[in-house]
Amino acid sequence: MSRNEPDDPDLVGRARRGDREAFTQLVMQYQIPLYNMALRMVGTPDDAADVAQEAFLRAWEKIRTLRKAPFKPWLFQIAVNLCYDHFRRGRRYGTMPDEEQGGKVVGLGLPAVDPEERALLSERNRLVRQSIEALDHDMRVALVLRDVNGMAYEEIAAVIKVPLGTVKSRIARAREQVQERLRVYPELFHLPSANEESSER
Amino acid sequence: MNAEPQLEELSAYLDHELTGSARQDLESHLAGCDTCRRRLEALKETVQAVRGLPLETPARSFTIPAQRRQSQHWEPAAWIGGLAAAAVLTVVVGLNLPHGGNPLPTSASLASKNETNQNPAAAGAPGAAFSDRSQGLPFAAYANQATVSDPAAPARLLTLSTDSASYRADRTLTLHLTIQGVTYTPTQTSTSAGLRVVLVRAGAGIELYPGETFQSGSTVTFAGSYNIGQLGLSEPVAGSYRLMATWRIPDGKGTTLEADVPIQITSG
Repeated sequence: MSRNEPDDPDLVGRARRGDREAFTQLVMQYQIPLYNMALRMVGTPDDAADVAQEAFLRAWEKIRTLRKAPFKPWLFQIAVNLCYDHFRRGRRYGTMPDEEQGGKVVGLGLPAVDPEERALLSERNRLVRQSIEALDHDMRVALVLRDVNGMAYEEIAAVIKVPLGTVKSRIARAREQVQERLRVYPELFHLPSANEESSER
Repeated sequence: MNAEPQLEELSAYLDHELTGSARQDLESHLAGCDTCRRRLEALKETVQAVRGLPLETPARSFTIPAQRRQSQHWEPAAWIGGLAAAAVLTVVVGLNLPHGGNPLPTSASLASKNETNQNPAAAGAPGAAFSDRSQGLPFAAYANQATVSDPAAPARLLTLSTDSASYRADRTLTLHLTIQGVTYTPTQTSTSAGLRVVLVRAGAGIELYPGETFQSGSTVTFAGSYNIGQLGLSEPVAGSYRLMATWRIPDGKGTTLEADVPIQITSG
């Protein structure tokens, strides 16, 4: 599905009326994006799967209370709150998985057949994950919803319940901090500095 | 030339979240400012690096129980004891585990309210017969598993399995309950099919309702996942439990198969 495909109103309506089959279809639709959001937030595949499972259970239990609000931001809001609960409990905070710890990769990764190229890509991804890990929770969730889940600013504002301007500012500051961390590795990331001489000259 | 754009504006511009005159002002500034073009380029590279992280699939599927959790309460298990006390036969089942794990001390029992003097031999020899039958189950990969057959109809099997024998108190337990050799109608829930599964410790227990259903021929599996922290287990939560499944077979004879597996819960 595309990153911003709207909810199927029929499916959500049936799920609200207690149709478990319809809700299961919603689970199928959102399990990959929701799990990946949780994975980037809490770090380990086990914790991320726990967050996603609990989010789906809570959504199923509460979907009757969902009125006209769109399903997707509502579901992600539940999962984000669970991530914050996870942080409050102090479990494994700050740890992120190694490449090998992750689940099966399903897409968006760049194909890299050459072993050396593959190793470089793996190292790049590890550093990017570490940079996301270093962000504070508020900035991290804004960045993840935008750049991992592809949500629009308005949708993110609905998920984390903050004004649009705050979303904009958190995403920008998160990107800046990630950028500063990646800049330490010029051999892996080409991040021109504002003051450097233009290569075109 | 317009004033130098803020970081927020460059970032929103990349996301196509800048509209109207703000966008035009920024573009006109960028056209004449090398420094800001480099800032934008660096930001773009950063965004691409984050978006380049591969999406991953979870190692397990997510399931929804048929019954809502509010109905679950940790309560004295007197109603469980009736079945447990009626058990007349306990068979330790050694399974050939698919990934070479060590068989756990699981047990499977046959309880019959009407026929309390079952011939133990009729339940089948432990070990090989059960392990062979277990291979065809849809979720045979689960290591913590117990299988029992109905001596009156050996093709009738009850299998209980969980994804682990030990969980941290903040983890999720996933169980599969498989019945074979039975006529099943798709509208049946685990309860109406005569199945009950309870997590018990020291005479108290909580009933779980595996709501997800998978059917293949005469084999039906009910699956459920439960966040242990949400079950309302009595303190201290950590300890040794048993997960017990009973299947009251609708054969008019009151035959009940019972299988159970050990569950260890550790503190978080």
